[in-house]
Amino acid sequence: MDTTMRDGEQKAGIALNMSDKIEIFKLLDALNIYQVEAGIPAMGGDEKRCIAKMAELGLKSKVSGWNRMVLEDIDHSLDCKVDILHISVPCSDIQIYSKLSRDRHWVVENLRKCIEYAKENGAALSIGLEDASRADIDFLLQIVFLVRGYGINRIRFADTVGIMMRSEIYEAVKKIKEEAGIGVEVHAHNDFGMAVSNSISAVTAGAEFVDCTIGGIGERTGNCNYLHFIKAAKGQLGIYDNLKLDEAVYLQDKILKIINKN
Amino acid sequence: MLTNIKKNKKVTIIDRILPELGLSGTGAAIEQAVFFCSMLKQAGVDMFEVDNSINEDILGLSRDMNFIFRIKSMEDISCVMKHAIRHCIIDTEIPEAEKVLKKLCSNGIKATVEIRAEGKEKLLEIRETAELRKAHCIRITGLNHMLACQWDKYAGEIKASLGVTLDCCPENRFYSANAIALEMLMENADILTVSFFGYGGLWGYAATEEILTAAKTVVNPKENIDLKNLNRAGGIFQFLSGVKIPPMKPVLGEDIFKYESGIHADGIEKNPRTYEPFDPCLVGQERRLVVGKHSGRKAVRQKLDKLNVEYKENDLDLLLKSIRERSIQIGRSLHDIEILELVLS
Repeated sequence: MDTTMRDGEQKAGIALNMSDKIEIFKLLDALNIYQVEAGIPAMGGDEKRCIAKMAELGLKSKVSGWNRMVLEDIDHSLDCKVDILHISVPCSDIQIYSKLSRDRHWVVENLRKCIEYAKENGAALSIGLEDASRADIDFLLQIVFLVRGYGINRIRFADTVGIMMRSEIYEAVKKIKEEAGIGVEVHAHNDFGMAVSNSISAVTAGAEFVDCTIGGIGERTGNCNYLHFIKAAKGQLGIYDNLKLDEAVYLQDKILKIINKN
Repeated sequence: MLTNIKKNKKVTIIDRILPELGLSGTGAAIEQAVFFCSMLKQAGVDMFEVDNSINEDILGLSRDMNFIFRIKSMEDISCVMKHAIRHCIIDTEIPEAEKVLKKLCSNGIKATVEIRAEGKEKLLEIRETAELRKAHCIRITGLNHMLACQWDKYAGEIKASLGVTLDCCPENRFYSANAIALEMLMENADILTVSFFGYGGLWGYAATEEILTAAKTVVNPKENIDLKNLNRAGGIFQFLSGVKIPPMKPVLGEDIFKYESGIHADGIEKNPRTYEPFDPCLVGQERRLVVGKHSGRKAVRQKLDKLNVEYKENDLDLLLKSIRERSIQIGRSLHDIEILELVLS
């Protein structure tokens, strides 16, 4: 899974234009990335037009749009006709109380509203557990069961501020898999240099999807670096035998040239 | 020194960067190196690894520092005796390793034997190697293939079987060194060997500044270490090594506390903990709001307030649109002067 053009582009100072993003999308497709998180349609303007264009191209990589738990955001994603509509749900008390000035009950009810609205409009959904690493595991499971009840088959476990230890993420993902039997996507940040090892750990616990960015770019210290993850997965897990590293390096370098051109 | 709060014991921190920096010269580099060590000591490093490549002036100028000397041959022992260094490390691969170990022990010097282990088989072999009991400490390096929850069990068995102190020095071939070091801080390691910036060796090591900051902010907030000079230490590291610190490098990177996206700017304004793992001041950094393509109204408002610019709320949306368009056009965020130009236009 790639989030270069969403979390990656959120790195302070990066500003890609439409032709940059389309070119990057094509290169990611050449890397056989399963799903590309193309951006935030609710930003409107060129960003929204660009995401719609990517969805229209009909390449192998699925296109997803990132949304807050806000109906207007969902409308923007629906306009873009993305393959997957991702709704991010603040799950930790610090995010719910400090950022949103709400409570857990509001989060649950608002999530229901957003899911029902999106499904009524025919959207395929994935749900993100924002700041899952600092959230109460029982509340996380409550959200996961709610999501599964709507027939949604994937959640994103986000270590939003990069503080998780790899044994902790292993236990959390394992618990979610065992108790809810839902697909898990891991989204790690690199604040203590552990985004790759946490992603590997999540995979050993059963996570089927790993969010990466090219060059590891992203908020603050960035996200799980795609190339580093592939190297670690090959070396530690013995997977991706069919992936040629030099080809990945070549394509990554082309993408980084576009991102760093200014 | 760090605290293993789970087992209520102290863990010694060794930094092995000095031999990697090629400090054989004289003058400014030596003074800077000594100053660098003093800042790391303040931040929690207990001991510095040195070897015969380092200018001995460093040992002389750093009377209040503790060193562990890497012995490469019998001749190195005279340098150890000259500077009254009480700790040494030897690689089992060096010629006459057993003789060296014997001589160190007979002089009352605490000897660490360094062994590389990549997997379970080697750890089991170490556990059964009776000769290793002669050492004061075993340093296990490598560990590139150890996944979560895998190797602590063997670490405990090695200590129990050999009656030694255990030093863990994970390598970073597969980007797991920090993870392993922090696991061992909370489990069976008595000593952690790390390197500033993770510098050195074939694949690098766990990064000192990242481990110390994680120890203080995540593992044990009561840890009595002062990290505020880590950023300055980063500057000296750049001078001594000639390596530029990448902008996104954890703890030290110049971009890591910049924020732009509307959602993050809003969250940080309300409570920085929403999107920061720790206060940047802790490590001598500061947060900085940047305005560009991903900014929201609140961020623009904040920036205008900071620039003491008067504005009407009704104009903010138009200004935001202009900022986003300009940012996309130039492919980066806007400098303050460029924001002011847009305001005036």
